[in-house]
Parts: sequence; structure tokens; C-alpha cells
Amino acid sequence: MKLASVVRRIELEDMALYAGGDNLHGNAEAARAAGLSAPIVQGGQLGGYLHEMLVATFGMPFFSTGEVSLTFLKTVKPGDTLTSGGTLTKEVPTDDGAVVDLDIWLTNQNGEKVVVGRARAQRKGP
Amino acid sequence: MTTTDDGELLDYLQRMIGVRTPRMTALHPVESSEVRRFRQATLFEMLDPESEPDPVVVPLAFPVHMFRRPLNAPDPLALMTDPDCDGMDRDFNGLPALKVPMKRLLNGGYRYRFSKRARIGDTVSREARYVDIRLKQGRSGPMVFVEYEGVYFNGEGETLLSSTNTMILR
Repeated sequence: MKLASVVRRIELEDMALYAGGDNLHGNAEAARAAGLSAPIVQGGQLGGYLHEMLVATFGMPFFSTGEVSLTFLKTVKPGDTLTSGGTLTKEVPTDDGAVVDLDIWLTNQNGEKVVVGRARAQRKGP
Repeated sequence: MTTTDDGELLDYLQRMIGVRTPRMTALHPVESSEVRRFRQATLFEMLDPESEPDPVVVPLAFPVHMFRRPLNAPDPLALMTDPDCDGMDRDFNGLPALKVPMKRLLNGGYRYRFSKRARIGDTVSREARYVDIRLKQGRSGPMVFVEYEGVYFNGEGETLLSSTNTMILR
């Protein structure tokens, strides 16, 4: 089963749009004040890239049947490039397809996993 | 933090488990231009040509982001870099603030279960509760793991999604 992988380069502008421009997720000065070398991407924004992969793979039914569980392992900073991925761990046939369980992740440009998690989706068809 | 303090803190945290909010409605409905900004931030590109009147698909987790802080209230994320912040006024999903003197906040992860797609124009409301709160000893001192749930509804009372977040205070 092939997942619709998403590749995204993270820009500070996008981070500020998502989290606001006056905190450590969207503002370099605020990040420095918190002892960080640069702003770090908010977890929900990272989740958004995995959500997109799942919606692109399983289509609109994922909006009514999908489940996602994520854990954040490493910080992500402006200029990082993330790639989503996943692998099938379980498949239970149903009348019109299957319920599938997946391990999912985001890796950075160094191949390090920055987010890992699990998802469950209903797949239509054989 | 002394052992006695830990005992008092534990008692307090135990009492907070199960505390919930009434159903609260977001200040405004799902609004097209806000959805477009959210999509730009997450680079979510999906369109649904059959969706009327707007082909823009509201991203899965958008309802979670519709509950803004009150006007003129400080950005809770910015509190972490405020030297005067003691962490005592931090709330989660509109639940009563946890009176825990820990300034730092880490996102320990989340779990979402999706039930129905939100549409442009939907009114969204939320109910929240503290599911679990635990005090643990870390290498750098005590930490509090806060697990809280949010259930999001559309204007017809249908569940859009439920979320469970884990936040770590230290």
C-alpha cells in the first residue's frame, strides 16, 4: 500500500501564520528569550502535514472515520525540510474494503524522525 | 518542592481530574479567509470541486484552532518567555487553570478521532475535561503530565472530532 507522501520546507512565515508572530513558535526574538537558537514549529502544524498525507491517501472518508495519534520527538526549525511516511501494520477486511492501521512519521532533511505516530483509516475497494 | 508540597500538589491534581467545561461556542463560525490562512500555514492543498459554495476543504484539525483567547488576553505561548510568569494561570481548552508553579510547557502529543467534516459557515462548539493529571519525577525535577480532552460539535450538535492532548509542565 502506497501512501501519498508530503514534502514540505518550513518557513518562519508559515510558522507565524499558524501559531502567531509574538511567541517562540513564530518569532526569533521570543525564541531566543526562551533559550532556543531559533523558533520551533508548533506540534499541530507538524500534525497538519501528516493529516494531509492521510487525507490524500484515503480521501474524504478519512474526515469521518480517521484516527491519528502523534508524539513529538525532535524540534523543527525554519528552513528544515520534512517528508512524511508510513507503513501498514494491520489490515482487517470489511464488506467494502478494509480497516487499516499504520505507523506514520515525519523525517527531517537529515533522515531523523521528528514526529512518530499511528493512524487508523477505512480503505475502500479491494 | 518538598515532600509535603508534593503531597499537597498531588491532592490538588487528583481533585482536578474529571473537571469539565460546559459546551462553549467559538466566537465566530468557520470562516473562509481564516481557513485559507490556516491552509497556507500547513500548506494543505486539498480542494473538493463538489463542495458548495467554496471548494476549499476545511483541514481536519481546524475546529481545534477556532477557540481563541479573549481579546487583550496575553498569548499563553508568550508567557513562557515572560520573566514574571509563574505558570499559575495557564489553562487548557478553557478548563480551570491548573495552579501549578511550573513555567515550561512541552507538547507530549495528541490523539484525534475524526467524525465529521467541518464546513465553511459551521458554528463550532466544544466541551472539555481533564482526563488525567500525574506528577512524575524527572532528571531535572518534578513534572506534571496533563491529559485533557476536547470534543467538538457543529451547529446541529454532531460531533466533528474528539481530541486528547498530553502537555508536560516542568
